[in-house]
Amino acid sequence: MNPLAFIESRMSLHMLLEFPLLLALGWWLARWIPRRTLASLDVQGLFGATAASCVFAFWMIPAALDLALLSPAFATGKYASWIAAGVLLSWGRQRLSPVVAAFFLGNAAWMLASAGLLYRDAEAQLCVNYLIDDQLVTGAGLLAWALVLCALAALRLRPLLRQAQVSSR
Amino acid sequence: MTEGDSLERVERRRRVDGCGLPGGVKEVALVPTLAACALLVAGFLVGAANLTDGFERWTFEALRREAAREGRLHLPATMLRDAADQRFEVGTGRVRLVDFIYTQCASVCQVLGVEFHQAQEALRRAGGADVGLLSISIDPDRDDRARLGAYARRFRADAAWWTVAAPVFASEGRRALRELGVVVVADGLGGFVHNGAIHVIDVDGRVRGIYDYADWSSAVAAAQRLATARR
Repeated sequence: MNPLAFIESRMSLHMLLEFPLLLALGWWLARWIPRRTLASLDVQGLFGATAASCVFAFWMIPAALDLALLSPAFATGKYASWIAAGVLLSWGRQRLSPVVAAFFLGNAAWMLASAGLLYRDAEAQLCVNYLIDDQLVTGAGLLAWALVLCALAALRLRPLLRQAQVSSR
Repeated sequence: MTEGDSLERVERRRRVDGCGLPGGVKEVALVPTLAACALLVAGFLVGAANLTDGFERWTFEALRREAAREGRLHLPATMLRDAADQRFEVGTGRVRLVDFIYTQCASVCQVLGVEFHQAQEALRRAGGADVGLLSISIDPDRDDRARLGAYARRFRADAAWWTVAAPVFASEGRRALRELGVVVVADGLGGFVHNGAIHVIDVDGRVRGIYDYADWSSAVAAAQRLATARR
């Protein structure tokens, strides 16, 4: 079995491992793609962060996950969109101010957590391709990823918090 | 590192970023960016609405059932063999309630088979032979004549009403499942899990509705309406 097919044979690996890996791949590829074209549309990194939020949200939809396995067009769209989100985030990351970054990270965390809770609480199988046990694991994993994003948001905000401390003295 | 140091670093980094600070480094036009973001979000909403039937159906199974209600699903012509090894092509002659089974299924299928049996009894009581039941095996490699026959006996399938069959060609069987959006997943214990349901299929092989087993009476009623309309 090829590694991609193996990862996609489990909902948990598909969502919790493949999605972040594709994002990381895009992030890594970004250094080889000239970025000048988008800079004027990505002031403060807003465009990249918005695009990534949309990609996050879309691929939390159970039907989208099923179709990524059943339709080659959807599968291509999935790879392309996650990689593109990684590229855009990487380009925009230096333009993102800590507050804006924390806002988007918090937003994504909230989204992953809601999806995670829904996946955990659903009584029926949400994806025809995945068993319900796997769905429970995925729900818990999404909650864990949400915590990671919260931690990242806090890290981005830390310099500001410190500054506030200093200036209040 | 003192706090003063790190503050200076933050300040320096912000200057590089040009984030509109007090002591502002540069003013940048936000309008094109905001417009691009708005377009993107609009595109996302349109895409998501398209996928989910206007944010109403979030799972593949819900979308599939809606497609069936709208007559957009077809069971392609598939050559089947029954427990008597008779060959026939599905999608001709009779309105059918079709489900997908494998004969070695234990726990859950016991309940489902019983519900299909109740549908058979309801059809028998109603009389008229223009609606039939058809169970199609998803495991044609293992479901030979003998096993199909054993399954029919286990659920007291009356051959006049209920045919238990398997695709003659495995590839045709797979194609039929794909066309209908029935997905079979190995359960890791030697069995299968699939989005099992009762498919009401008209004489042309068009799926007209998909019902849960528990809702077998609605499936029977829908099939009878189709058969009556045809007469």
